[in-house]
Amino acid sequence: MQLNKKGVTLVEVIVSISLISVILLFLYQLIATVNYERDGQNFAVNNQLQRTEIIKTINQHFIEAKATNPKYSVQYYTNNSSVTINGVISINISKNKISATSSVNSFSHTWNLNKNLTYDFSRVEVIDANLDNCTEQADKEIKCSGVGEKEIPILNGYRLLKIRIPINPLTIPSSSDNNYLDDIELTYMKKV
Amino acid sequence: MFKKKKGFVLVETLIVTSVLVVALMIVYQNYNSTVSMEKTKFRYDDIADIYKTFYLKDYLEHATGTGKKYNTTGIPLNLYGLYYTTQAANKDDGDYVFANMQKPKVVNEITCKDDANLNNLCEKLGVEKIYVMRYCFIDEIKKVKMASAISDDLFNGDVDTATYVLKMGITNIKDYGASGKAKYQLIVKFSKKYNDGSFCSGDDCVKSFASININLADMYDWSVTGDQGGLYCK
Repeated sequence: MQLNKKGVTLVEVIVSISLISVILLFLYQLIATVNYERDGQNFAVNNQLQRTEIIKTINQHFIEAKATNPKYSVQYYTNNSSVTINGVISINISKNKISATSSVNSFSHTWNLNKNLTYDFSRVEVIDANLDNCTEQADKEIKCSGVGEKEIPILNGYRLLKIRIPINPLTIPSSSDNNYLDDIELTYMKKV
Repeated sequence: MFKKKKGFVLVETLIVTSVLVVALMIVYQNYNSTVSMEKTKFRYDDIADIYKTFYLKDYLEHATGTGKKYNTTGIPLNLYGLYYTTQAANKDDGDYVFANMQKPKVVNEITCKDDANLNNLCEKLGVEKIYVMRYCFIDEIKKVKMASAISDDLFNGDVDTATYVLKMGITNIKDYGASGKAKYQLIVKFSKKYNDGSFCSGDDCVKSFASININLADMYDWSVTGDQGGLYCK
């Protein structure tokens, strides 16, 4: 009687499966990384128009504002944070909304964020020329503290402030890994 | 009678396995470099960077130690990157935008570190490089020549900036300005700086570029030196 010798042995099956698993693990890691980067950039692209409008509008008000009161303040609250410049321009940031108002210059703008994004109002950076208020932690997270009304420091004959408002896609945790291509960056610079 | 032998000998198995391993390593390395390149991002003419460039231009045009716009020889005080005030006689042709009017350089770099004040500002705004590029009226023929002339050599090996200039078509601007005067473009490269003074590269690094028109011809008192070779396009 002849034995049926077709098929594979158990050892061959186990070896084959383990080899394929190793290869698939590498591929999965690569695909996951590319997908992560792509998601972050997709949000940045989709949010580009609103981001441009916010930066342009607020920066224009900075340029037009008269520096009669060269002070600024930053406050962090439970549900929002607030930046006031010159005592007249107030920028309020909450989870889904940014507003810029000025009673003196008579403007008021409000932007509601895309539903898949949130503003990280607890990590709003307001950096003056002395690099006060915000420090980079060991894990690259930025930590900022509130500032009561304080004079904007002078650098080379100019008063300079940088404001950065991080934006986080809901699918990407708030961390230093979040790409900042879509973050709101504002610059205030006035000749003394 | 021949006995039919199925299966592989050990040598065959080893050869096949090693070939597969080498092939997979090559594939993995290529994918890894592709992913890494994806992480280095370039941003051109972002609105936030345009405002920073505007402020930098304002500083370069107006900030002086004496409060005057020009020094006694008519050179804007703060544009020292374009005019070397020491060892002028020993400098080669083309080192100056204004001093040697016969051969103005197409691109000049303003080095932040040359001045403590400018260096401070560069750090605060996240500036890595500043270039001033001279461009002129480009007709259809010259457009081709200029495009081939925009190489990394012009930007001291800075491939990224050269790519930005080419992609944004800065050299294709047809604008003589008043009375045929040459126009200059301020090109700024922004990137994150580490504590050791080096600029970021590779993973999670964003290099941003922005440019703005800078009217050097209008600022310079050409009547002082009487030499106006750099003022007009050649």
